[in-house]
Amino acid sequence: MEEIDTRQTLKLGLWRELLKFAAPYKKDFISLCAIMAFIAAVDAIQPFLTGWAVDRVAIAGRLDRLPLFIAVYGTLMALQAYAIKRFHDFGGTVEMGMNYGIRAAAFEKLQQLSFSYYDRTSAGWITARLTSDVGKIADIITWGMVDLVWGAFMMLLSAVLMLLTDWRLGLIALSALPVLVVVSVLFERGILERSRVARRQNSKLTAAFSENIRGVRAVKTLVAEERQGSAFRGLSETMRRASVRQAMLSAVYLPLVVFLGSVGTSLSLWKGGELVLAGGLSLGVLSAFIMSAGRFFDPATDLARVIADLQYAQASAERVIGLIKTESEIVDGPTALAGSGRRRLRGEIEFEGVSFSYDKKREVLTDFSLRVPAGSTIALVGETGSGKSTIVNLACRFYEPTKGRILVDGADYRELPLALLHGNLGYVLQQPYLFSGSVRDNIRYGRLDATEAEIEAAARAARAHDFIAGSPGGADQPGLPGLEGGYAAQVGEGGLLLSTGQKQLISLARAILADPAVLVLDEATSSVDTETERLVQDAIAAVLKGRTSFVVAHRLSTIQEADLILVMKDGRVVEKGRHAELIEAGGYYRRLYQAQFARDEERSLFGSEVDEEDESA
Amino acid sequence: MPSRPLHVLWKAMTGVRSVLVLALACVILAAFASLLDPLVLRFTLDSVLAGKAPELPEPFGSALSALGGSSYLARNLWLCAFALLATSLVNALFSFLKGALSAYASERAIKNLRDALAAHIDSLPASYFGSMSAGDLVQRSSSDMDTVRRLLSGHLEDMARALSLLVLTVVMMASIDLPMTLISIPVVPAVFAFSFFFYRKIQKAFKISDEAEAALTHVLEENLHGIRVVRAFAREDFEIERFDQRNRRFTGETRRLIVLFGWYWGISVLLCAAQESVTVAVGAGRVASGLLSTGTYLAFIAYVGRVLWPVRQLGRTLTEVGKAMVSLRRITEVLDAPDEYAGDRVPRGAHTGEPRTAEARPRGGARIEIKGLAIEHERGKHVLEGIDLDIAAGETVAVLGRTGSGKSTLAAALVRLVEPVAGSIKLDGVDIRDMGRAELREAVGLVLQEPYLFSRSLRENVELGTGPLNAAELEWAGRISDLSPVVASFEAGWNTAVGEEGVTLSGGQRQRLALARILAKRPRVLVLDDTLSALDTETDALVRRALLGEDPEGRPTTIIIAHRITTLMAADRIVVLESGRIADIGTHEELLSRPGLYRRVWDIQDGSGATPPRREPAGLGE
Repeated sequence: MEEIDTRQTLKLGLWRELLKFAAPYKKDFISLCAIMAFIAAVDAIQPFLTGWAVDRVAIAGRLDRLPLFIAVYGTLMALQAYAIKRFHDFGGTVEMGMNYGIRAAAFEKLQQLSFSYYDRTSAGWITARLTSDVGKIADIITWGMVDLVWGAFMMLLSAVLMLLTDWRLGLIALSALPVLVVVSVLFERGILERSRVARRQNSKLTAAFSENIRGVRAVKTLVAEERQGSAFRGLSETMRRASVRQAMLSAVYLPLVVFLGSVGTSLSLWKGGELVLAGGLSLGVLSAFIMSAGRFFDPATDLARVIADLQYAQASAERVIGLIKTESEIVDGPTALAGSGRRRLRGEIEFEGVSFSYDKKREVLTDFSLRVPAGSTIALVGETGSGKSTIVNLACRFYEPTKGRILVDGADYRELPLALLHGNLGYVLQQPYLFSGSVRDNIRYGRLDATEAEIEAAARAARAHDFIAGSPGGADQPGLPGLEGGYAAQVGEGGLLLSTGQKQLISLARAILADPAVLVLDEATSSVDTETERLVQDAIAAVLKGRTSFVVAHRLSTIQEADLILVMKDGRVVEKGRHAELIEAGGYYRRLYQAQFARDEERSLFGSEVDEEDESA
Repeated sequence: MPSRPLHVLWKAMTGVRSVLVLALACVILAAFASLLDPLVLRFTLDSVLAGKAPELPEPFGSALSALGGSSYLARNLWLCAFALLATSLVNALFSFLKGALSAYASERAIKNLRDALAAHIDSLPASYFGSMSAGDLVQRSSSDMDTVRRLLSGHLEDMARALSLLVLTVVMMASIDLPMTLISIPVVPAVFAFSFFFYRKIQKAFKISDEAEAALTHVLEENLHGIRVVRAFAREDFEIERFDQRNRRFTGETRRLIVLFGWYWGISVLLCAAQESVTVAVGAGRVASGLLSTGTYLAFIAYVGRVLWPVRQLGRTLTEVGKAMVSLRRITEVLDAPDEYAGDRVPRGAHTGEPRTAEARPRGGARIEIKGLAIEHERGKHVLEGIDLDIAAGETVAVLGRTGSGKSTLAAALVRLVEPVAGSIKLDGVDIRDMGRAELREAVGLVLQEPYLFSRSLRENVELGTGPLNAAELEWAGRISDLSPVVASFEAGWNTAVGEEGVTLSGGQRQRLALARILAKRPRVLVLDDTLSALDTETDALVRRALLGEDPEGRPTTIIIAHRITTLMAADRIVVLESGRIADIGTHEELLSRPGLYRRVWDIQDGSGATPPRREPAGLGE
């Protein structure tokens, strides 16, 4: 998945694209670089300052110079401490600013992208791009820059100071540098590669744990404990080897760098010592050299790490920029912008010779024409994959026809603003999706400025009020306790605190509140008890009244009352008409109807299809 | 008795404890070697370059005198440089050993711990997984495990290194100049205290930032999963606003954390610089007054930096150790949960006679006697009560009942996934509690209603319960379960990967695979918990015919839980469960002759058995 060639070159265009997100923080960014240069300068000067103290104060016996030294040294160190505090401030601003900006841009793009993008891309993948990838990019740009500026300045200034003080000795002290650079880059790369192997192995191990946990009943009934155990031990052994391989490289690398660094120090002591004996160098300058040579190599490992990280982060950067630059396949045309954004449509929809293909190869809908008068209900029936949802998706302009056109209130909908159609649209899914929050919040999602009274009215219309707020019960009906907190009750993540039937009723209430001119209903057959089933049917009848509706129908009652039934098979309409006519015709629809009728009856007898005792058993 | 977390860790370190001790010894030796170079410099500066009388420990002292004293060294200065390089080499060598040994030891210990946890999870009773969320368990076995791994592979040696550096440096300083030592360490406790308290305090800021990130991710995931709802209601701007709030909060909180770190590093640099300034200034004064040699002075300047560094690290390391202990405790909790064998009459793995291999086991159905069986999920609330049922060897019994009637619980009880509060189940006259669990489950194959498939190949899924199968055995299981046409429809055949990285199977295909993998075990009792529900009528009939027709003497006793009349009526007897009790029992004709659930179902499903075909994926269905 994350196979990247670590030897790939730096893609400057890509990083330039990303640096645009740093633009609002340009001043902070410059301050950050300046501060790092300052810190590097102090770090480079410090050994020479100490060397000065050794020669001019200590060895020279000039105690009178001590206050001056203390003043200079103390001031410099205080400034250094302040600079360190400040670079965190600036760095935090830049990092988190970019972090915020890139993520916001990506999220905004996600709200525009058409569904074809979501068909191709999993939610998990997108989430990883917006969290870990964005974090990685902002981190490497900010703190990588910090390390880069500091390291480069520190090495440059130290080298200059050493060479200025004594160029021969300076050259000797720096002689180990090329070796160190090569070693560092090679090792950092190797470590990065091996750690990627280990990480991949680790996610396999987590997946194995997860399977063992979620599939524990299967393991037990199959008596597969031992086989599972040995398979797991095989995985954990591979993981162990991968981790050890990575750790071995680090175990060699860091000591090697320390050792190579000490080559410079030793050479300085040897040649510098000879100069001291020859009277060409003071002890203080020699010690400054040795200290400086010792520090000189510290940044080398940091720089090597930044370079390795940068290559790694480039893969993240490509994915994120790729996402931000994805073109939405459905956008407002040039004429659309002129149209008014928020008016009410009548809801007349006409398909004119519409063909459609998801992958531009295989047509899933061919030359489909249909006029839907405002306010009528169209029921779509047929097997999974027969093309029911394609018609719905096209009517909603979640996709656009590859051939032909679709007219809304007489105008090609590609010439209308997208917001106009969607603002007049209601959509109720088979698997009703609720957002975590209160019941009230979820209903209000249909119309954000709705009042409490309107929300309650919508809930009543959707037959949801009683189970939300509770009902006293009557002669023929038992009372309901209601949800704890009523409309303020939390629905949980994805609505998991509610039953499927309750979620369906709430999502119907949401659609009623939105009062759309066009409604799409993907009916559910799943798991509701007989009582709820009846309520849902009533609610559906209420919500369909007076608006153009497309129903992917599973319920007999809905089908019977539809103005037109389209029977779909393999991407075409095989039968079309009202219920009675189609039964009369005795074709495919009749067979489907009989199967469904039996199932409806059966469900009313057995209650839920999902065996609830299973959960606790 | 709950175990102590450290004891669990100690047990996981079996076999590598000595390696870990060796690694810690290397940490100390490396720390010691890293403190030698200031001594070499001091000697070179004082005795070679400045001509002071050399003070060297034996045998170096006499060796040097033999060579001609410090003047020999002055002529051969490379010897001093070489000594400096040698100390660094020793340091590098021990550092490498420490890294290698501790990686080996810690990875092996963590592997042991992982294996133990995985094995324990498989042996926990099925009820445990009802009380603990799968997500929580996965987290304990992945991220908590990783935290413990970092304790072993990093924090432990970090701590050892910091402590030995601290102690050794102070000892080293004290051995060369006591007054300078006293001047060079007063800030050390302050730096330690500051670092320790800072890291404790910052935990809260970390937590806030983590929670803000979790909230951000949560809103993002909701948006992505509900994107159709968002679009259908044209709520893009509302969503962008909602996301923006979380995004702002997360980046704001994280920035606050970075600013806190700025304070920490700023102040600790100030403290350390103050200490260094004092050492440099006082030392300079003492050198000027002739109380201190230049070499010793420079050695102290080197040491003061080295004593401060580990102390700054220590605060952080201690916090990490604290976090690791929390993770270790969470892992220990799982390991402490009693496994399903606890309280069994027969110890785990024990066997009462039947050979373990499928080929060698007696074939043919087993007789089942259920007497007064009662099961409750909650105290006092019976799911099953007073169940008496005798099933002859090779008989086929169908079970019909509404949701909550206890059908699945009965199936689970047959393989001891749940335990009765009263009554007993006997298999060929032996109480199933007197059999090993493995033996019982080898004999009784339960196919679950919603089967869990593992994301590996079809073949590996089937072989999970049996080990490698030959082509004939595989083909047989495929044929009886009607999985063969499914296998044939894939290019890779039996090697087709299932699940996340492979094809997604339909409900009916999943059920057939689950049936095939139980059949491959050749059980003596086959329990199908609504297993054929997603198959169409013909396939259902095909599978049942294949089951019955195959090898009359080898036919297993079969219990089929179903809703479909055509499935039910083919059984020898039908049991009707209502509210946890047997409401009726009899043959198809008998049940049809009296009013009850069975006849109502029959009426609905048209009686003639000519229920219209339901091909899957179901046309008007799920």
